[in-house]
Amino acid sequence: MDYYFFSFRSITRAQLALRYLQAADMRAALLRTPKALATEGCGYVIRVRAADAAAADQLFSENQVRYQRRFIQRGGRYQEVLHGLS
Amino acid sequence: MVYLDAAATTLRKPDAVAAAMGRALRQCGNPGRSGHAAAQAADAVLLQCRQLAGAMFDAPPEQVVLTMNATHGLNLAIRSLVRPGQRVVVSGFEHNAVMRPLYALGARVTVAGRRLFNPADTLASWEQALHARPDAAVCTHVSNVFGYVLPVGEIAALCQTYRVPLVVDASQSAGTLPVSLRAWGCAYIAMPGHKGLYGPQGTGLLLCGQTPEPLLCGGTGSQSRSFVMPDELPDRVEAGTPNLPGAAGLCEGLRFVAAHPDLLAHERRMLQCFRRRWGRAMRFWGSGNQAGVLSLQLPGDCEAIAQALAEAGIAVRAGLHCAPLAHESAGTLDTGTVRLSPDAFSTCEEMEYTADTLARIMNNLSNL
Repeated sequence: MDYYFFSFRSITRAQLALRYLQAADMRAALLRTPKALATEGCGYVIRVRAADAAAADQLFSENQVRYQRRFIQRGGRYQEVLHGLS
Repeated sequence: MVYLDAAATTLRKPDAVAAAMGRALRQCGNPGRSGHAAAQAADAVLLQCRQLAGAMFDAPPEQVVLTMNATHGLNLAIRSLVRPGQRVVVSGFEHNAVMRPLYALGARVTVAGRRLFNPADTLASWEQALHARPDAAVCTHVSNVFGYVLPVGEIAALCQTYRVPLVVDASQSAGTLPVSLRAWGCAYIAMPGHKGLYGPQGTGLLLCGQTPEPLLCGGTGSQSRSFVMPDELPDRVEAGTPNLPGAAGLCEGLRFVAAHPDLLAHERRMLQCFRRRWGRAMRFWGSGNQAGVLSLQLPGDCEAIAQALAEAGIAVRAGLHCAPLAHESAGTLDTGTVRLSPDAFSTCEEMEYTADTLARIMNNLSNL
């Protein structure tokens, strides 16, 4: 299964972001940032299923939740998503 | 013991406070450092604390910083806003938690408004002082010595008009009076967790309307490749492992306060119980703008009177209460005062017993 990862600059922001997803009954997990994505060192990401990524992004936008970057994980490899999710 | 020293710290806490601290000691790891269940339990406690405080004080959760006490928060705020030699306006009732950091920085301090229980005088003095465009302002919400409720909402509005960043010391008001970061538009609001919020000692909150400069630098569990502190709140000023059991206890204190919106009315009733029984004239009795703190200026040594009360099982505080500026304003710098400060668990019987005991002590002193 493919997953999307949203990275955050602080755990507090990631926790608040997770609350919005949970309130919308979306399955999501708060995880430590995988080493391959941790360009600034330790941090936290929220992982959602690829099918939920666009809805999650929309929720963040509506609630002014600022994440840092977003990635897609396919077959064990990560790729940054620079443009719109669909 | 009859405990009337809540302005120093609330000794009697809701049972849930100690229970939550015990749970945290057993179940919580280091927050923000790992992904395992114990770390996540700790993360949840901190977020809960920020959310409860944010809801109570009208602040976004990420702008609620956990501190050791109000003094820690005030130092963070003052050192972020004030540079050596800059001009700062303060009220005539500030605690040393404000005055000492300002003097340590070499700030040029103007004192505005020294008349007790006189908000019109307070506001007029503040307007005059702000007219000179100082670099910052610091104002206590409630005098920890006399219980005077300063018109902080109006002072905050004046500060916005003159574009002067304001720090509010809510040490004696948080938990009993409305405190709002958003409505006041303050730079910072500092408060202890262990007084009117009924949390444990070693806890406090700093509500940030601006991004403060760190007092301590160190690990935050975030952006760890960088040798400088993150620029994001709350991480920017929360280096090192936090007081997790304290935060867990503070959550329960905040819940207790949220469930009891009548705490100020209760404390005022307690002071009325004392006043009725005491029956003598009281110099520091405010009319409507006094919180649950009462200072008594009595003939004799205030410390000896407080000691006699302690020996009768009554806990009060005497002396200058770490606020010489307030005593200077009221003309009690040389005598000090005996301060009574009830809490949510005080009873009218306790206040009457205190009045009777104090009357007996004063009679004995006058017969010596």
